[in-house]
Amino acid sequence: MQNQKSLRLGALLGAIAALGTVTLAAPAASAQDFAGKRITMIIPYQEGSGSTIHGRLFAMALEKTLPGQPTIVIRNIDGGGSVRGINQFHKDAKPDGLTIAAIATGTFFQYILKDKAVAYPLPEFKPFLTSPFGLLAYARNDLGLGKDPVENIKKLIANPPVYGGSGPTSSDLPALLSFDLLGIKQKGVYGLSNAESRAGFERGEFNLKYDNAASWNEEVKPLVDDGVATPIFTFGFEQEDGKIVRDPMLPDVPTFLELYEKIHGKPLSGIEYEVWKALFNVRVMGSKMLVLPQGTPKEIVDVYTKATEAALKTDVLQSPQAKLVLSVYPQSTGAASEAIFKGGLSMTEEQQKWLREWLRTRHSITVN
Amino acid sequence: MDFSVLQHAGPALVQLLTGPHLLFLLLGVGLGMIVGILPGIGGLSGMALILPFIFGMDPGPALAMMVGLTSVTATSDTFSSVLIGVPGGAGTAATVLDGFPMTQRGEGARALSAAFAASLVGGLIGAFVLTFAFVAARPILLAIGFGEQLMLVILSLTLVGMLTGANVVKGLASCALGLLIGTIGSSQATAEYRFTFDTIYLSDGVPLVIIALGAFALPEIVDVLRQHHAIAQKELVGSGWLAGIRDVLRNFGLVVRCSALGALTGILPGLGGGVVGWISYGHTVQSSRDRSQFGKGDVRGVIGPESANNAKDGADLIPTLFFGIPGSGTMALFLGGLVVIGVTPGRTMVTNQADLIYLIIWSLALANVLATGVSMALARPIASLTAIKFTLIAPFIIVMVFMSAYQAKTDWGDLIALLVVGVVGMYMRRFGWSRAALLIGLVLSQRLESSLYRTVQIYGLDIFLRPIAIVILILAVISIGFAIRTKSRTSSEDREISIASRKNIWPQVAFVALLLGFVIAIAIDASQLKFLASVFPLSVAAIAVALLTITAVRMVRRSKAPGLLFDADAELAASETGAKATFYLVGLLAALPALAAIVGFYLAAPIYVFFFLRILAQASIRFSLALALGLAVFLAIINLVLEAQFAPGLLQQFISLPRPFGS
Repeated sequence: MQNQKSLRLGALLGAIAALGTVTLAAPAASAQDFAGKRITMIIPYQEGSGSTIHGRLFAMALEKTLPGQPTIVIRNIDGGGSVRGINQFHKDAKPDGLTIAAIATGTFFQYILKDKAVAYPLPEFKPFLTSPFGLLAYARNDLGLGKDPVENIKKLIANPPVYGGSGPTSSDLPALLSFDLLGIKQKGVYGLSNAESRAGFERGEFNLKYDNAASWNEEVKPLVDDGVATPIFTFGFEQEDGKIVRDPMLPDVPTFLELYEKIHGKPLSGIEYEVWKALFNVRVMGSKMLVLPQGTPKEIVDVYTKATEAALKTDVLQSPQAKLVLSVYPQSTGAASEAIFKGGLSMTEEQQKWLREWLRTRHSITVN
Repeated sequence: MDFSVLQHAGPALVQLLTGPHLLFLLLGVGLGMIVGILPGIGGLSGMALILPFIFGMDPGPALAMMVGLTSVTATSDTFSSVLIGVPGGAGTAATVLDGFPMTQRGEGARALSAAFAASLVGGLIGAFVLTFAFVAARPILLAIGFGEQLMLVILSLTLVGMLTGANVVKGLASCALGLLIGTIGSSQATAEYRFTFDTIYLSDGVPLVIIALGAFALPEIVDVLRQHHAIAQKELVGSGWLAGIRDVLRNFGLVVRCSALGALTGILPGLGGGVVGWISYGHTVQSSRDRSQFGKGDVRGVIGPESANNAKDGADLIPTLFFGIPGSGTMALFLGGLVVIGVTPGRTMVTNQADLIYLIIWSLALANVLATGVSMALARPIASLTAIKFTLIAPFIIVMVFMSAYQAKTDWGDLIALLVVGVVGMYMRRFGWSRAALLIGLVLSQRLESSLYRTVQIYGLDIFLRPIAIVILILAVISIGFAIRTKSRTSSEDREISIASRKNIWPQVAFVALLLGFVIAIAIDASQLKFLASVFPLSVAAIAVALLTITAVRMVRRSKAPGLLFDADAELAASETGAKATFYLVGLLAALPALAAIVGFYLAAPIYVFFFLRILAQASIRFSLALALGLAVFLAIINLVLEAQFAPGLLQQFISLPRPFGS
């Protein structure tokens, strides 16, 4: 450990010493060997965002496991709900494995909703890692909530709560659709960052909110312990056999689908289920992904898949710090991540039309 | 309140002063100073640079390094604000207002030394505030809701009253323009795009730093270029070292008040770092008896914002550490760093890791002392550069400004926006429109609109039943009273006005017409949106139209209202000859981005510097070549080590080049 520390110190001093010298990277030999190369990871959100922390974590591990141990540099290009960064990725990245991108929920939603600014062909990207993240909806106890989850929903239906978030066309979309399907007619205040809406929730200005279930221990549990808030439902988690079960982080909290059945007397079905499930695929199962650009040869994708599998076993990703970020959810690589990626794009024309119509009638938002 | 955590203070200091902590703190401070002095780089790149190295390090030394790095950049970026009038960010633009005129008087070293001494006091007060923050931070977060935040924004906005310049109507119109520019981008309430011309660049609005650089840096460069031989127009005055410290001691009350203001603004939710400098500058002007020298080189105008800006750094840590809510990009990366070293910020940190909190506080205090020492030692030699022939430094400053601007969004739009804002800024300066008022409007625009919308949604009229909100509102009314009663309203645009400004009024009237056209265009665009997206821009546009119309009518009638008719070019032409027209100088600035559009910024910058030095400074070929190559090496280093990006040109589109040529 001591030895390792002094190594890192040495590396840091080296970096500072490099301020005095110029080093130009020498061109390396073959395509699958990244020795001496710099790989750029484009993250289409701000520095310090969840995607950045996630991306940096994997970058640190991949630097060790990619052949030739290349340097990976992070470039944050935020704006337009990830559209600006991914457009740039689409425009600049060559299919040589030297440029990769982190994509997240916003990247899918803007594509599905056919945002005018979208210039990237999402289905042609090649994913090599998907990280799922469960979601948890919770509300303030001063709405009169108690222990019974079904009664709690009925109270929220009877007394519409106030919801603070970023908006119906953002990554809030699945949560807002779920509230609506349950029959909760919350009032929305939009354009808020997660930090702002959390502060507003603590002050009681908002009384309905959702969060990553991974942040349960740090963000939500203290509120529950203080008697301020109660979890109302999770989105659940999809097993390999396709069944949506309770979130492994919060096995005591019922899922949305369970509650829907109890409230309405029948399970969610038809086009409403299909749309909800498609959004669930994106928001929960494919919450954060790492991708290679369109046209990347299979060999390079395979190299990345193997490196990612190895990366998951490194001390970086096995560390307690990494567990705080990734939580208990299983990570997928290669073909498995490809399947989740396809699942996120599975929405048919008809389902997209239904969703746009829902946005128009429920939130008076016209998307093209 | 439970103060038992204070017992960790002593052991934490011992821990910091022994073992590896101090070494890492020094490393952080050193790195922070370097990235702070470098143009456009700042703490964000510094944090990004060290993040990979701290993984797995012990939390103590890693924190010492991170704190050292983030807490000194606000000190070291004072060099460019004071000496060359290039603000390091929107917040430090307030320092330019008086710091740069002092430099022009030959008192650069004094201004710097005053700024650093004030920063030191501010930094220490910030660290002290942090000590008690963990008992008070939570109640404050809970007491200041969206309604109170709205009142705070309004209170900040009233400070514009002190900074309108001689002509109040023109000053308020500038502020309204700033508010309107701030509405460009997607609307918070409905996510509809406003005035973005379907460009993705504008979809998140114009970055603040672009406006700060365009409105302040470019016009000043042009002004010095056309009138003067060197930035310092007089002989350099003394060493300045002691004079600056004496200035701070003489105004110690002001330093403490502004530090407290800075710390408070940092703790209160909803205002953000960009306004801190302006709030303290407004307070400095408001609380001074003799206001005649503000904007013309009053040392108090440097002391106020600098102490506040540094005090804010300590306060910035509060939401990050205690709630896990980062207040700025640098703090967001700091938060990322905490995660990487396994420290979970949030309410549990106070109970479980109080020793680390003290380590942070002591690191903060010590880093400030170290940074002040180094900066003071550098102040005199660096300030002496201002006596050098300006055409020798100007090309480097121009390269630096455009490079900084490109770091905002690393988009060609940055350079275009900078040039547009720069040209408007030049004419604002020429015709006497307050750029400070414009910037305050811009800094507060989004916060005003969003807190207004949230307050209406959540409280409606019930907001007037909340005591804290009412108290802040009363303060705002008092502040307006102050502004109405005052006789002199500061602005760096005010100068002696002679009859020359009244001879040909048409260029000035045309400028008003142009502004009016911009306002109306924004209004027409906004009127097609939903109510929630259009109500704010339309209301501000209506006010702006009224103010601009009053100005135009008075101009045409040749009213004698103070500061109404002013034309710096005409004044200059009347007093001397040979000064070059504004238009010619715009071309000189535009040449750099034009060249970059062809060969890319990395190649364009040395070529530009070479020809600038050869033709305008009439330097020898060997000298020009050496400096151009030096710049190329410097740019290569910051590209490869600090990941600074350069705008690509046509060349890079067709041929793939290795870094740094291709970046």
